[in-house]
Amino acid sequence: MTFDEFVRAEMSTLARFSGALTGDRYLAEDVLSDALVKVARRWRRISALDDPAAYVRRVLVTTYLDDRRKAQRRRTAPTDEIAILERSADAVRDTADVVADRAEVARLLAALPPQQKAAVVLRYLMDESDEQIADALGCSAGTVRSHLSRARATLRLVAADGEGVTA
Amino acid sequence: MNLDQLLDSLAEHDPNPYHVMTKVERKRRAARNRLYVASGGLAVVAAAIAAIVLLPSINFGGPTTSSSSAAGAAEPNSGRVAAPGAVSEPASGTGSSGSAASCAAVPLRQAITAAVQAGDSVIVGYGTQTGASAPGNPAQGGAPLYYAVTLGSVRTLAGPAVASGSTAWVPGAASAAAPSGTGSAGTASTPEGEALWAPDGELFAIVSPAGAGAPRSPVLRSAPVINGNVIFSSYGCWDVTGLPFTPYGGSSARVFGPAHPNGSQNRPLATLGEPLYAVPLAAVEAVASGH
Repeated sequence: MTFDEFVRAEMSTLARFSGALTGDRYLAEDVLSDALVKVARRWRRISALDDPAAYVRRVLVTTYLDDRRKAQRRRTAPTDEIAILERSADAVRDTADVVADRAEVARLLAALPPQQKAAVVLRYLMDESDEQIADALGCSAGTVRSHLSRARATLRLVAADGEGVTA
Repeated sequence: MNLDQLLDSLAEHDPNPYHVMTKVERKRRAARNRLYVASGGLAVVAAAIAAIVLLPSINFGGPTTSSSSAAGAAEPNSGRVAAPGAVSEPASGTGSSGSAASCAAVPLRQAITAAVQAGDSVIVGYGTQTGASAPGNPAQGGAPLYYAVTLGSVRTLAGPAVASGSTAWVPGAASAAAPSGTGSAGTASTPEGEALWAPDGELFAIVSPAGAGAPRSPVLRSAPVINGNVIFSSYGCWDVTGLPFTPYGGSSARVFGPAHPNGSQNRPLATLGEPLYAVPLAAVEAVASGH
């Protein structure tokens, strides 16, 4: 399979994945195009892998995390602390009323640290296992579980499989 | 928040695939351009390094080294410098010209040393052609081998003193290259047996007082002096390796040529195809005076 054939077959999935990761379609275009440029340079080797799509998703996650790391250095307000403050404030309100608002969902997602958000997207959008997520993020499966737990707490996510927690 | 809300929110920001591919192509093109620029820069750097490395060994018409084959092609007397006594050998009937083997690559400094050790003199002065010539070898058509010159204003730089007013012999158009008996046979391709001559006759010379078997003596191995520079070329089998020099050319190059009894017969240098090098007379005198 050539690079162009791969891109044509996987573009919709990669675009959805990239949009979910970034939460911004323009940033998603940048991150995905950067990742695909990297992939194109190494396509001969990547195409020989068992699951080139999984590898490309990994490249996409790495590119996204690199981008967020650079953006983080340019920001003055740490998002983690904002999330904590938001969570404390929200605790006194009715959780169901807050999350019903779509904008609030987006706000909570945006408040997630990049690693946690990547873990959430890979788990709930791409349906990947802890091990696959760990491979994509370059961390252990235990760390992935920790990321997911913290993310669910921030999102006050009640998952269909019952693993969700509420703050 | 439930899972559906989460998935709905995650799916809200899908990028336009067409825009993504446009950006991919643009970035790949930019990367290729950067690669070309980098390659071009590397090529320039490599060329500069090669030039720096090779330039010292390339002699643009100048004999700064004698070890490089590239330089050898441009050196005036590369492989053609006659031993000081070689000019006295024409008595054998072959002359000192025509054979590259008669010229060994001996720089001027060593040539002067060898000449002085052999009892020769090194002079600067003026030579006036008398019109007399030594007969050539009849077997070679009778072409003259030597032309008589009266020396004047002589300064002896090294070796036994040479008096002004004395007569010396200059190797002329040897007959070595004239087996067909065409007479004056010195050619641009075999000029070793000939001598260049300045318009006013000023010269630098190694004087061999008694060439063994030579029909006449002493014999001059000379180079013309023009405007304070000694003009060296294959004529006389000179090698100026290690001396400061500048390529010599221009209109002056046409005013002297192979020494003949009659100056009007001198050939213009433009037809000879031999590179000429001007070395300051002071530098040559310094080399000669060191002995």
